[in-house]
Amino acid sequence: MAVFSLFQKVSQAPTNPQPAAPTRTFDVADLYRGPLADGPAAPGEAGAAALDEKLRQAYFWIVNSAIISPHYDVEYNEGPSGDFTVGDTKSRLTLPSAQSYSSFVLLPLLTFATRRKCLFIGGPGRGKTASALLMGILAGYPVREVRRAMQHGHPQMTIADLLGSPLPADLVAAQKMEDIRIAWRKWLGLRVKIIDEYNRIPTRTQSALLTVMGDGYAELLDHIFECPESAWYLTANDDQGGGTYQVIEALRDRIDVIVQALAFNPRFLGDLLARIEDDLRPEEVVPRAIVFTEAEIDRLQTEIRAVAFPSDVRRRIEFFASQFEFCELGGAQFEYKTKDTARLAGTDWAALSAQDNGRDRLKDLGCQTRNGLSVRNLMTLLIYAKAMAYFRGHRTVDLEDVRQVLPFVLHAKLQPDLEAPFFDAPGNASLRQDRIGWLRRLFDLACTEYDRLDLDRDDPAGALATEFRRGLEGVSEPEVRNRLARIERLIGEWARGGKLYGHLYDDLLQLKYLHQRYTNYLRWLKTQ
Amino acid sequence: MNAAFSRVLASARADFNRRFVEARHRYPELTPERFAAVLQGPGDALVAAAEQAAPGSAGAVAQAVYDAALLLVGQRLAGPDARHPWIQAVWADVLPRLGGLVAVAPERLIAALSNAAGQVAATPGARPEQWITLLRDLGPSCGSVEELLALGQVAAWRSGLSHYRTGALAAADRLPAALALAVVDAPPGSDWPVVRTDLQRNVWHQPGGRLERARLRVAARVGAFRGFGGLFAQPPRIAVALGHWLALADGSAWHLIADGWGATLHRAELPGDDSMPRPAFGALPDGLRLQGAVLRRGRDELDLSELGTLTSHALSSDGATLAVTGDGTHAVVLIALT
Repeated sequence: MAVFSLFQKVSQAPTNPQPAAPTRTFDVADLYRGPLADGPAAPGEAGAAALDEKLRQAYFWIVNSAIISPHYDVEYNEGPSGDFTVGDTKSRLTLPSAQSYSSFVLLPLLTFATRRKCLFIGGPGRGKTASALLMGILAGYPVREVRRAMQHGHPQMTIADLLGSPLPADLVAAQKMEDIRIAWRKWLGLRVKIIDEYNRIPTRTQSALLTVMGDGYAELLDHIFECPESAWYLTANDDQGGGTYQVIEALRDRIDVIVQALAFNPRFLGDLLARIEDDLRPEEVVPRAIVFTEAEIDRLQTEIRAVAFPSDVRRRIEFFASQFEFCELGGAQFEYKTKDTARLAGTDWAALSAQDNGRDRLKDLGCQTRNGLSVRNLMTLLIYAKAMAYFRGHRTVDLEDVRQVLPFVLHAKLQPDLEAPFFDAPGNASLRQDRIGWLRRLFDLACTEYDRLDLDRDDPAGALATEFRRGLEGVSEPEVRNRLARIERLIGEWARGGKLYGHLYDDLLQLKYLHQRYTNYLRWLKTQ
Repeated sequence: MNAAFSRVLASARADFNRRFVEARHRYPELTPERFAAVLQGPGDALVAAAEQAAPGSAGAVAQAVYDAALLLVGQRLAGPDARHPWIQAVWADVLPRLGGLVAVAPERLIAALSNAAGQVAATPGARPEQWITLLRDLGPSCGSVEELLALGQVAAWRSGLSHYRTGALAAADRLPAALALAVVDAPPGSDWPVVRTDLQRNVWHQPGGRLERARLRVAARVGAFRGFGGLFAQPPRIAVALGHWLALADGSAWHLIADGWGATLHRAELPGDDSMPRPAFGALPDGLRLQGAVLRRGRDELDLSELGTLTSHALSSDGATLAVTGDGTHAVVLIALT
């Protein structure tokens, strides 16, 4: 009997239709395309399909058929959006004018495509585990296998529970460690790994988990298990330290994105009721058309990496990122004037920030955070921005892609200074709780400042760096001296300008770098 | 309901019921009454016809009929209050006559012909009744599913889907000559290669020979005011971009394709600044001249006063057609020159 399920139907229509080109050809075979599929897909047909389209099909199937998710918080616009202010606090409701997405589905899917690590947070019973389960099924594993492979954090969880254990017979008979065979836990070999309630895992077991998550291998009694490259999904009811055990910093830092399971809208209770009455379990009817083979996931990664990152978009990220690490009173030597220097010294943050009275603390974006961004954070941001563009069917990242993924990447990475004047400003109080909204606002403010400074057109430090990147081959001694003089002149001009801000600090460090490179080159020239 | 269909439904009652429940999740308008009307009407006739043509095929055909009916009724493409009657007409008038072929590939044929009927019906200016008549009359002559599908493609072209012209001509080559001649309405006994060459050479050629000799004439009026169900909010202008006609109106562009059997408009992206056409009424092609509102070629003449002030014209790449627009109409007027 033919297996049929409308629940398993994946739309044949393009999920992200684009306007047709002015010259187009028409294929008469299209006459027979329409709402009815003409039989099962031929072997290999799915593999030949564009993977970004398949990824979108997976997204829309999950949103429309699996998860009752009415939230569209990743908003894109083409032209003006519909904006309304509602209520006494003038809450802003936006009706996006372009295809927009639910972060709770989209970010896990981008994590799947890039094989990174995603943490679901939110209260119990909001679909965190169900979402993670679906990702395992998208990777081609049977529901039962994904369920069994899911690791449930609990206070008694041991390293053996997590990784496996030596065979008892070998423990008795072995003369040396190599003779002990290890029964590794099966989940270690899966390409989708799910850790439920990871904040309930004891600290020592968390350290073992860190090795698997961070380095991709497990170690027991000098035996190593190399894990395949995987997408990770972790869940936590509370990411602010409210679990049974405090999550170790290094483990938290390995998580690439955090998505919050938003509240269920009771207006959709009818859908829930129907699901109960009809005994439907979405995870058991995932269409084959949206299941990815290992080779397809490999190809997804390659194609995502190939998405172009325009220099003007990259420059905005540079400007944004340079706002936060600088701390004028953090150190005496110029290079050590960072928040990390102060943190490492155990300096009291409140006392330190109270001394910082030379700048406009409301305007300086750096004053809103207690830390800066790490290289890992920036790499994650770049890869998720590429994945976002790819998911939308684009082959070049645009600024909006960065703006949309940034809050989820930096959710637990940029720590807000809740005592900063920014949070006391009218309308900003709710941003103390709403980390996503705050980070998006922060990026918008950085872009506004970037525009105000007209850095797209007037970026002298950038121009000097571009000139340097052309190479030193054939650059004459007078030219090097000229460039050194220009660097010194620029630093002199900025030094006269007064206040020091994060982006200026990073530009000055870059100028110092260029100066040093030219100085070394000049020295070499003199020896020739 | 015929016995074979009843037997299949009874044999997997629970599974069929579950499919209905799942479908209703997706399509809230899917009611038992509307679904039963299709199943007991054309669905039943189709299963019976297939079983009669190929005993033992009822099971597979019934499965395909059931699944397709769920989706079509759910989307109001079939059933008592369907958005248009043409898919149901295919089920009632065409598919039962093709019982033997349906028995070979039930899922494929039911899907293909239903989808095609929907597409012909959705194309402004196309003639779905003609497509159905052609398939109903000529379909039983097909010896295979592939042949039937090729016939459907040629019939769609002849019924107004002019954008499929090139592919349909190739599909006609895959048909037996008699069938190819019949579907393009060429006189029986004609030579297919000759008919084909004429069709390919002249977009306005019709093998039935109903057109008059080549002279200036309005071959088609394409498009209408949006308020009357057309596409154009303003009187359009016509231009050529990258070798193709583009109708431009109100900041939007449409790809215009026309021949003797129809004309279709397809939304297109506006070309970039470099290749953006500038529609205008400039110098006419050699041999044509305009006197007042009358277009002349030798002793031929054509009154274009109905168009108002002429705003643009563009010659097709094969030189067979002049497309003209005016400020007094929301249609693009196509003047056949061959």
